Amino acid sequence: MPKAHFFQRFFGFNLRGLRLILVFCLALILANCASTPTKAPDAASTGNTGSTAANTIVYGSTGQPVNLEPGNISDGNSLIAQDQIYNRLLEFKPGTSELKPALATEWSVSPDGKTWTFKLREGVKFHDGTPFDAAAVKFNVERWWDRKHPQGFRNAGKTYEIWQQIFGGFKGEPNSLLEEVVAVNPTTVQFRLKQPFAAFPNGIGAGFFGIASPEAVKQAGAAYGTPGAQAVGTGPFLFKEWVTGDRIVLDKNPNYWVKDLPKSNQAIIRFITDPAARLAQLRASRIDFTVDLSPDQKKEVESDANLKMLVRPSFNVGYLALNPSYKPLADVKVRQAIAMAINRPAIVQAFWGDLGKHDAHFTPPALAWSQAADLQPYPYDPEAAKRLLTEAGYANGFDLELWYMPVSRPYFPNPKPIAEAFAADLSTVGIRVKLQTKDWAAYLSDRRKKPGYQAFMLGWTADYGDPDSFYYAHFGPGATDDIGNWSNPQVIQLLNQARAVNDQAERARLYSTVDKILHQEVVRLPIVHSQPLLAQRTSLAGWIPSPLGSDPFEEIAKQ
Amino acid sequence: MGKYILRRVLSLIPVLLGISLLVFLFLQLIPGDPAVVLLGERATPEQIAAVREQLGLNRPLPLQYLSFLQNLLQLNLGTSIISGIPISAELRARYPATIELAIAAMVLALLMGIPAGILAATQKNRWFDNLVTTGALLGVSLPVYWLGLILIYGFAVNLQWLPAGGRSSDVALIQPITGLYLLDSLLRFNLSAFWDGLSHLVLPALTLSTIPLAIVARMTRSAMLESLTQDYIRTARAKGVSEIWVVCQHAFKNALLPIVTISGLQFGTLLGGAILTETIFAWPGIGSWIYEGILARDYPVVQGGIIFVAIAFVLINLLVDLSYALLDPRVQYR
Repeated sequence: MPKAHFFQRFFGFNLRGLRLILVFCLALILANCASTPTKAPDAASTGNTGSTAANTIVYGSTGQPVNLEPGNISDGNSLIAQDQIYNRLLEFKPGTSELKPALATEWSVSPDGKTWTFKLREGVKFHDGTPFDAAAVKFNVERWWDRKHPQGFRNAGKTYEIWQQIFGGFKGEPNSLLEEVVAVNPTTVQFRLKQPFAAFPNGIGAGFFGIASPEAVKQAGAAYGTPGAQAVGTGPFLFKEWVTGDRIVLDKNPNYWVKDLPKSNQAIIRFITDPAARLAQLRASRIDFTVDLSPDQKKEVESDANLKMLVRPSFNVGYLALNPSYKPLADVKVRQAIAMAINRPAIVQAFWGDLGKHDAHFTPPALAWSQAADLQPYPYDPEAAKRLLTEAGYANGFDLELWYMPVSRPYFPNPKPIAEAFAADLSTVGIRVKLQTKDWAAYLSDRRKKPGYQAFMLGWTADYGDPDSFYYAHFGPGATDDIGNWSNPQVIQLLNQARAVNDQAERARLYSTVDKILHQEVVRLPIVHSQPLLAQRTSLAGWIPSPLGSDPFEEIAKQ
Repeated sequence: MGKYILRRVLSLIPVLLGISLLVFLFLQLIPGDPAVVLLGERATPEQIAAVREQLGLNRPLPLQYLSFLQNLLQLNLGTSIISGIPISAELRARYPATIELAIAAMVLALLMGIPAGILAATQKNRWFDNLVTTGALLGVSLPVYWLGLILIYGFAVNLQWLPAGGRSSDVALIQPITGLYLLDSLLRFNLSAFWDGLSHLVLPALTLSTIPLAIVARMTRSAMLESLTQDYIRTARAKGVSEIWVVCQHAFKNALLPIVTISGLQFGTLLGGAILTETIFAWPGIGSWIYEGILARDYPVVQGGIIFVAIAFVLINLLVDLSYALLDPRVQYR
């Protein structure tokens, strides 16, 4: 086989077609290309500049974490970085939203559903050598929950918003679910709630709530979690260094409480905002695994024999909200007609390919236990849709302002063309759609201003692994001001009941009823559960992406 | 001279005030509430109100500007809305990366652009001149983002000669002195760190240098063409001075003024204009930081970044002005 020419190797494919253009443009190249393409050699064989040791894993994150302070973040980059340094009371079995013991070995709830007791793991030490115990848990929780906590440093701008999102409010506020947190003894901690909340273990197990060393927090003060401060937890990796804008370096925790883990000696998190740059760095073996590539990069990942494509199980929903306070949409038949008029399977196939799942449920497939199994999505049937519209008195259709998001989100990567597809489908049944958008911040806030948008696209990625995180935030009390305060007393009753009951089978029954009612009502029409595209080098093993977006690296190593 | 410098420095005050006002207003005039962006899809009206209060967004605009200005004078640029890290700390951590990249790109641009421009001028309308002119046109018109990706795929993914991004390898950590990796590694006699830093610098510097290179080459060419037609050149040639001496000493020295001006302007632009290059090469500098700040609508970050860039630009301009006297004895400062 003839030796590949420089330019052929540079471009990685046969250049015959491009040669003329290059000669013309640069007036420099007198290139002649050999005939067969060569494959890029593997990094290891060429002594490539990837330059990391075999027992170091390098993760390409989509940007710099906001900070390394538990409870004070909600972004995915911080979530993943914190997952390596801290443990939570409860964590999740790899690749699922199913709880498993972590810093707590057992957990139970009182018969009235209001007191949760966690038995803590003994003999665990923070990276700084201080012991992990109930007092440490209480310290962490009170920092998040109590606005007046001296080590909460709220005057330095810390907000701990995520606590409020999940647990209703802060200490002393009427909506706060938590009444008190008590260190019963060094290995037992109790959370006393104002009202039952069955999803509490899921909430406190959410990736935001790692347990930090109280000593380290006190020492660093308000600077805790910033690049210059030492982040100290009990997790598989020790914080070594955070080079602003560039990377975080983590070393193996030799005293990790899980035997034989972590499998790698070092983990490096590199911040690479641009998806094209992330994929390029992965292909050049500068990083070993990365997340959130754009769907159109799938082909490139598949074409490289050194890469393996993965998808993160969906834990989101992209939906089309139909506001019943707009007169035509007040009739449920019209809303159902819209569900039948939009060819959702085709749209999902066209815009997401295998990275999108379309079904009848507002919750993603990872929560199948809580869904009504026999529920079928509305079929694409324009004729039936037209009949429904005629029955509702809109034989000639009506005008509809449909708002699409101005930004790309995981659940709607390119909202405008998707909205155009909706509009095209709706026009075939006589609904005259006017597409609208506005600046993202205004888009989000104006939808709550009366009378709100007639129809709009939006989505949700859950905070914790429970249907409650999807339903309560969209159909619970006060959560429907963007759909004209639509309210279904039965739904609210069922949601509250499901919060109060601790029996999983009973909760499944309650949620499946909610699922059916919402399917019937069509106020937020689920379009897609998207699965983010991930990729790794084939030399890496042990990565099982979590639907909840927090990936522990402890099992990951190079082969 | 001292008086002139003082006057020039004083004249910077209204310029800087103008910059601060523009930066402040630009971000205020963009529609949308930073509190909403901060909270995203999850925002409830109560949370928005609380965050607005916390960020001081509820106060009247003039008051917000005054406190912004007051903080600015104390070199307090505020803290990032998103991360809570002080802007000044982030600037300190990131500007060496940007300056190192800008210097490298400028050195490349000057090393290639000036000789190319001189040669093109002496070879006017011959093949080399056409090559330089065409190349310069390409240089200014190639999208930086595209060129960067092509270079990464060529040299990093396919040939595997150079790293695909970042500023250093994970193993080659050196204790910073100035923050400029190449300089620090030399000062610490750490050759392997030097090579590591250099190999990371090549592609982004090459990408970033295309536009200034093109502009410097064109400016050198036209300035040289002008000075080569002057009487004193003819006289020098008539006296039998060698052609190289004529070009380099007589013509080039007199063509230097516009070249310095344009180079200074270009260097100022490089300091702030590296947003795309820094993003595509994951270069941890000011540009990628501003980019992330814009994406997250982190007002203080964008404000701090732009003010830094603007001040750097203004100061470099000042230096360029002051350098005229060194280059041309006819220029006098009064």
